[in-house]
Amino acid sequence: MIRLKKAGKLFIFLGIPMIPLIVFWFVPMIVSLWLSLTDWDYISPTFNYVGMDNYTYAFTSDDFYQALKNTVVFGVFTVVPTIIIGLLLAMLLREGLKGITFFRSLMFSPWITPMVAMSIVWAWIYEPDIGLLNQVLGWLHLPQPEWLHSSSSALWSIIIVTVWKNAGWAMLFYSDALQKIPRDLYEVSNLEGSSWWQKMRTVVIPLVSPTTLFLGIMLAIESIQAYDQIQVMTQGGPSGSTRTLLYMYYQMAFEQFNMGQATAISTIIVIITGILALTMFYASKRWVHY
Amino acid sequence: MPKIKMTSIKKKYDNKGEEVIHDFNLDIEENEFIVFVGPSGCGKSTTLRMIAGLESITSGELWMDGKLVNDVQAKDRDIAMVFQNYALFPHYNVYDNIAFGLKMKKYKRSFIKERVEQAAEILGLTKYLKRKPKDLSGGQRQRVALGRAIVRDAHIFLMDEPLSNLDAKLRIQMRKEIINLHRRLGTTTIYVTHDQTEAMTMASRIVVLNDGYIEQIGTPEQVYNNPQSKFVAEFMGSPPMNFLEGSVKGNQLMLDSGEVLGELSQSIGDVEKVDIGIRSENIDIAAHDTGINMTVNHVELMGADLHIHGNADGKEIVIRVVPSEKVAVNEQVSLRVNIDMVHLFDANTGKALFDREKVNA
Repeated sequence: MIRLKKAGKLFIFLGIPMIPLIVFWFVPMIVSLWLSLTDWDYISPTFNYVGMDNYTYAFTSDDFYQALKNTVVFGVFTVVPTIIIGLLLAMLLREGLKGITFFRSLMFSPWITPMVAMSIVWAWIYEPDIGLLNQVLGWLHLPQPEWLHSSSSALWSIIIVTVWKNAGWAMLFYSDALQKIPRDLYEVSNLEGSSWWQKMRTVVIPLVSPTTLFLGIMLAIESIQAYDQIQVMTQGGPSGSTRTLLYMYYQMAFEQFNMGQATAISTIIVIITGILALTMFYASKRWVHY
Repeated sequence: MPKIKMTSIKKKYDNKGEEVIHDFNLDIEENEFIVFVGPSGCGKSTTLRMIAGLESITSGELWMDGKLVNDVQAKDRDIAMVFQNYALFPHYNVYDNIAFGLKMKKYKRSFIKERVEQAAEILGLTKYLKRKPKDLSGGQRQRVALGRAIVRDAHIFLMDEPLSNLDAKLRIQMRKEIINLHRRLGTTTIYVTHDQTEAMTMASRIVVLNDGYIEQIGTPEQVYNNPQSKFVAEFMGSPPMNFLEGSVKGNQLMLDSGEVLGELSQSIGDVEKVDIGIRSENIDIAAHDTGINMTVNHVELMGADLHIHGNADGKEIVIRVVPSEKVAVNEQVSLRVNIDMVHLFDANTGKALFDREKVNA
């Protein structure tokens, strides 16, 4: 009887929440893993089993490596600056300053604005001939890049928008983490004559490290999943310069209807995400202090 | 020349505008162990933090070794401070915590090692140098904080309630260790506490603070035996001093109930209303009826002493007697007061009406 009760409880508390997880996550994952071994074209009722062909094709194609490189560049240059800017903003906007809530809200507002709407506005700002940014650069007699229209600057333009959107979000987490640092530690540093950088190195950075780990993992995953801003601003162009792995997946699946190759790429994305999260988690044991 | 000289120091916080330290004057000599004692909010920590340079001084002058330091930064005052919550870096081990100040000042690695090992030896921390603070007991953590202070060879130590987070037994042990450390190093030390026992047992001189004012400065004996105000008399000593209300007429000390306590050996003239302070050890149970009666409320056996709590003349009284004394709750006993040890305070101002040291001299 007790065993039956226990099984009932297990079903209610574990089984029921598992149902949507199984239906909407595990099953599609297994189906997509199966599809990656086929040549399904998204429309035909029939398809052939092609084994590892889709993976072989991906690993031998230049487009894949360019997309992988774009994903890595996009990931590194959105995550690192977002973390640094978020921390610096949080330090700048500490409690006790006048109008702090207003400035914090201002910094946080890009995060609550939908990426699609924001990307449309930024596409106008980046417009080389009539856009605001080049107007301002022109007044300052600075070079006026082609921004989204040039393959050398398009990815950086999207990186800037993504950092701008996420920095306020990172700031909020860092504000909270900074408040939890005991004041005594700053005072000890003052008494011992620590410089600004020494204080950062010995007090701030180690004591906000759990927040840095959390933000690092979240932002890295988000950077791999970036889609909206690329879709609105460049659609992966010019010449594939802003095509990330996820965008490549989208193009293969819904523009080229090559579901087999698309799901092979999506599987690679999942593996990369998993490896990245695990690496960060294990590496964190050395530098994260709880 | 005093080591530290504080002249008319005042402190106001910008946001409140209300003065929290009023006209603080104190000279501290080399090698002294000064204790600031007082209840919470009396300004003792604020004063210490002004000396450290962690709080600005609103007005007045702070001199160290003959140099005005009001505007000198904390790091340039050559002060080491021990905080109530230890202020240890959780991500550093004991070695790195102790070495922190020396590392910040970029001393040579070999010099740092020598100093840290020396400090660890003095404080019995050699075994724990590789441990993180979270793996240490409260007493060990406090020793690490002390280590960080002594390794620097600072010429002044400031300690802000360093023992208040420790349990009673450990507190007594650390008290002893700090006294020994001071004896060994001879560094001028200012120690803040709200615990009068710590003040009495550790200080070479005590500064009693109340509401931002200095109530009294003196050796533990002076502060205990000759309190200059009712506040000091009440605050210092455990159990606290007993108070009865009365008057003085022609040298006769009388209670409000009309009972005569005795004749004062010094003349202070007639005073209509006085607060009569009597330490618990200066009252005992009389064999005959003295007219001063107390109803016993409860009895505490402290080991070496017996504390008898009761009501006399409408006031709560505690007397300290030998444990062999037999009294029962609700029993009525007659009290005998040692008239030569009473303290008299003005009922309005709370100031002492005579100097007991001079009287007994």
